[in-house]
This record gives sequence, structure tokens and C-alpha cells, in this order.
Amino acid sequence: MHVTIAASARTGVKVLRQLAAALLTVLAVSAVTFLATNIKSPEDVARSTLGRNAAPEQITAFVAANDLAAPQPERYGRWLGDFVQGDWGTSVVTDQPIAPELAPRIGRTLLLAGVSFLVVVPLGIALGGYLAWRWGSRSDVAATSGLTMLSALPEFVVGLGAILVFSVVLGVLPPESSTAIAFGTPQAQAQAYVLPALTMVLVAAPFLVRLTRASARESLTATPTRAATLRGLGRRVVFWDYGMRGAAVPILNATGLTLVHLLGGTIVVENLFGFPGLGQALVTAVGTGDTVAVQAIAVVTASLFIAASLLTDLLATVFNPRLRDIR
Amino acid sequence: MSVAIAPPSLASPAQDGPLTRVWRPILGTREGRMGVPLAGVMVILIVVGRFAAPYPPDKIGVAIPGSAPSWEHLLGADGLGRDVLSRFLTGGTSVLVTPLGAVSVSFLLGGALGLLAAYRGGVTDQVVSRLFDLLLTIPPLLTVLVLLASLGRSPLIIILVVGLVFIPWVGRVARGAAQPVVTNDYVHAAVARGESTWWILRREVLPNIAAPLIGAFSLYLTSGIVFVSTLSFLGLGDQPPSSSWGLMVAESRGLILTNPAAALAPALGIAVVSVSFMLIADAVTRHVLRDTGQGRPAR
Repeated sequence: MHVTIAASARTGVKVLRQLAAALLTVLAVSAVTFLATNIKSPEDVARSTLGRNAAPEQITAFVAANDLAAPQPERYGRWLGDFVQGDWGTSVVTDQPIAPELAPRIGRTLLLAGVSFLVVVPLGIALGGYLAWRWGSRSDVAATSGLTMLSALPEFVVGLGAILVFSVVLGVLPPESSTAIAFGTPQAQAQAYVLPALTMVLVAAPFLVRLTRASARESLTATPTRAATLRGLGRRVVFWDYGMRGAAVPILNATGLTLVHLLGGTIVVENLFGFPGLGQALVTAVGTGDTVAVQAIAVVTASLFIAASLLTDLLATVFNPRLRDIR
Repeated sequence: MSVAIAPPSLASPAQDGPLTRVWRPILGTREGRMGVPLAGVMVILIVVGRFAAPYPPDKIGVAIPGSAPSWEHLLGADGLGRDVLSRFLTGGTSVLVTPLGAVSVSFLLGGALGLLAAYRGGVTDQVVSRLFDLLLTIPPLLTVLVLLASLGRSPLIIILVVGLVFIPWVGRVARGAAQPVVTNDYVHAAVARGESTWWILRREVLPNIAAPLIGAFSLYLTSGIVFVSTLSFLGLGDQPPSSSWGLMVAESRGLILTNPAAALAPALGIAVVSVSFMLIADAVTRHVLRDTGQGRPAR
């Protein structure tokens, strides 16, 4: 296969277009988030922060101090300018700047999602391929029904099951992460990641396994694969070079979606384990009505999601020649 | 189940209503025979269970806080000394009712939009499909959390917000299922008779996509149960002293080493409800639709 200049130029254009679309989506999401968190009138925001019995003078002062009276588009523009420059506002609840509080949390959440991703991808693809090879066997039926049920469970129920097994019955892992991650030794810190990551692996695995299984099955039963078997090629060659390679594009897509899925999973899993990441901060901010923090965290989280799906699209464009010419 | 499944040639679809045509094959599948009774038992437990509660569910200090199961308190006590069994028996309502409300909202609005898009085609289809695509780029839990932060967290708002999040999914299923139906002759005949758009969609299109819609309803009910119990677990749904199952798990999570039953019982309740509807959805999508040849709903 030789890549011509024209083909790589087309890929380049496609990639640029995807980048632009992702950037536009982030902008749209930030605007919608800004609107949604600012539905309430300035006076209501002031009252919900200051308490029901706030004096009218206090409310006026709060509205002026937080610049709530200006028209929405103007305030959005100002907020966006500040956000891009790293000023993510001041929490209405703790009165602390938000950005320095969030920075280490972003790192931890990405690390948690990244570790889970590195575990679930090889494991899920291997299991899916194995089940496709053993399609219809007893182990296939058992594993597939088990995964279907697993996929119907909320993340916190799966995590609770993991806590039950590893902390209560076996007693080998801590049921909670917050103190270990803040104050623990490096070993305790690493240990604190294990159960949250395991939970995320269990939550994300069913989708990847089932999709790999179905795609690999399709390419294993396709005519070229059957012809290869009839030509007398070894089972290993048939499985890898015909079965799995033929299913590479859907598996790659599923891998990307798994990354998005894992990022979403952090919201609940972090709250179950007291893991000090973005998702925990988001739920706390929603619970306390800290709209400024909700806004910042939601835009950061949405940007991570969009970046993950952009990565998926880019990989698909690079690996799947058919996608390069579309549109 | 004693219901014998008639071979397809003997069944007369013309005389059966759409519901009979869907339910009978569901009970003919392994998933259906597991899922339907399981869902039935859980619904009965949730509806009638409250009358069997041995203690008032909100009464503090009826047992030693955090104590393990005993004969007086079969599932032990939670951190405030409330009887876990009584709380379990009274706390399932919102796990079922709120998702049911939310998914109904999404089917009414999303289903109507999807049907209209499939029927009208052209610009309507373009606009509706783009709208769905846009809504699908934002992760659902994030959308719900942002909306709850600004709108408040009453049960009605939760139903509306969660319903809103499912609209694009349901809309795409309805659109996809209706597209092959709207080109049929009986639809053209109805148009020629001068029937109104809504009459045609309701009387000619809807009955013919009942099976995929029932499958999708069951599937999104599972997602709704997961969603609503997760909100309640995160402390953003029912508020204390409610004994809502998700909230019970959150409140008793710290007791996992002293009385695991306090968190496990409600977690198991949520799991069984969710899995049973998932099994019904699976029975519909994997068997009934394939056999009746109606469109497959999207995942």
C-alpha cells in the first residue's frame, strides 16, 4: 500500500475539519452550559447563596460584586475570555478560586480513566475474540448472559459488589480512597486506585466484549476467512490475520467509545469511593448549588469527552481508508 | 409458564391486538421467561411490601445503630438505628415510578418527533435528526447534573430532565422503525382519504411499530432505572429521611464492614429490577423482532 500525496492531503483536510468541528462543539456546549446554569434571575442566585433572609442591600451588593446584572451574551463572552486564560471563577460556596482546586483533580481523573482504559482494552478485545471463536459454546453463552446482566447494573452497584468481595470478604483492598490519595505513601496511593479502576473496567467491559465478539464473528464467517481455512492455513493465522484484522475497524471504534464511556463512569465511581477527582467535585458543586463551579467543571468534563471522541474519529480516519473520501 | 407457543402458521396476527402479538413471543424466549416473572415479583414487592414493614421506616433508634442482622431486625440496622428491612420494603417506589415517568415523557416527545421526521422527510427530517445528533454529543449524566444544578431537584423536575435526556435516543428508534412503514400502501391510502397527519401516525404507523417500541421502552426503562437510582445515590434525587434505595446505599456505604446488609439489600433490589427489564428488552430485540421481521431498534 502506498499513500499518495493526494490521499494524505485528503486525510489532512478531514483531520482539520474534525478538529474544527470538535472545537465548535466545545463552544456550543460551553454556551449551553452557561445558559443552563444561569436560568435563574440574578436576585435568585444571590438569594440562594446568601440565604432566604438576605437584606435587599446585600442582594444588590452581591449582584454588583458578581456582575450578574449584565445581559447574558455579554456575560458569556467575558466568562469565556476568563476561562480560556485559566481564570475559572470563584466558588460561590467556598469563596476560593476554582482553577487551582480543579487542576490536581483533572490529573487524578485522567489517570484513573487511563489506567482502566489500559486494562479493559486488551482484556475486552481478547475475551471478545475468544468468544467469537467459541461462538455458541457453553462458555460463550454463559459469558454473554453474564455480561448482559452486568451491563444493566448501575456503576455504584457494581462498585459495591467489588467492595464486598475485595474489602469485606477478602479484606485485601481499602473500601475508600480519599485519605490514602491525599496523605498515603506511594504504595497506599497506588492501592487506592485499584478498586475504582476495577469497577470502571467491569462497567466498561460488556460493551467492548460484545461488540468485539459480534464483529469478529462476522469476519470469521465471511467468505475470505472460510476460503483461508479451506486452503489449509493454520488456525492461528485464520484467527488473527483474517478474523481479528477484518474486524479491526469496528473494534477500534468501540475502543474509542470505551474511552468516552470510562470518562463518564468516573462521575459515579469517584463518588462511591470518595476518590478526589473531577466527578466528585461536580456532584458536590451540584449538591451545594455552586453554579460557578458547576459551570467550570461541566465545561472541563465536556471538553475531555469531546477530546476523547475526537481522538476516536481521528484514529478511525487514519486507519480506515474508506472514511477519508466521505464528504 | 404454561402458555404453549403456537407455531407461527397457526397464529392469526389479524385477530390479535398488537400487545398479544408482542407478549406471547416474549414469553416464548428464555430471557422472557426469566425477566417477566422477575419483574412481576419486584413490582409486587415494591407496591405491597410497604404493608409488611415490621417497623416505621423512618423511626430512629429502633435498633443499635449499625448492628448486624438479628431475629428482631432481619437485615440489621443502619447508621441511625433504623430497621433496614422496613426501609428496604418501603423504598423501592421511586426506583420504578420516576423512571417510568421519565421514559414515558421521552417516548411521548421523542416518539412524536421521530415519527414526524420519518413521515414528513425532507427538511423536517433534517432538522430533527440534526437536533438529535447535537443532543447526543453531550454525555447524559453531565447534562442532567447541569440542569439539576440550575432547576432544582424536585421529583417532577427529575422526571422531566431525565426524560429530556432520553428524547434523542427514543426519537432515533422511532424514526428508524417508522421509515420503512410510512411508504406502505395503506399509509398512501389514508393520505388519499384526507386523514390528518396525527391520525395517520397514530392509527396506521404506530400500531405497526409497536414491537420495536415496546423493546425500546423496556431497554430505556433499564437505563432510566440506572439513571434515577444513580441520582438518588449521588444525593441529588430523593432527600433524607426518604428510604429510596439509591439513597440507602449511599447512607449505609460506610457501614459496609459492620452491617453489609444495609447497603447490599437496596443495591440488590435495584440490580434485580434493572436486570429484569433488561431481560425483557433482550427478549424483544433478539427474538421477537427477528421473528416478526419488524425493524430492529438501535442499541
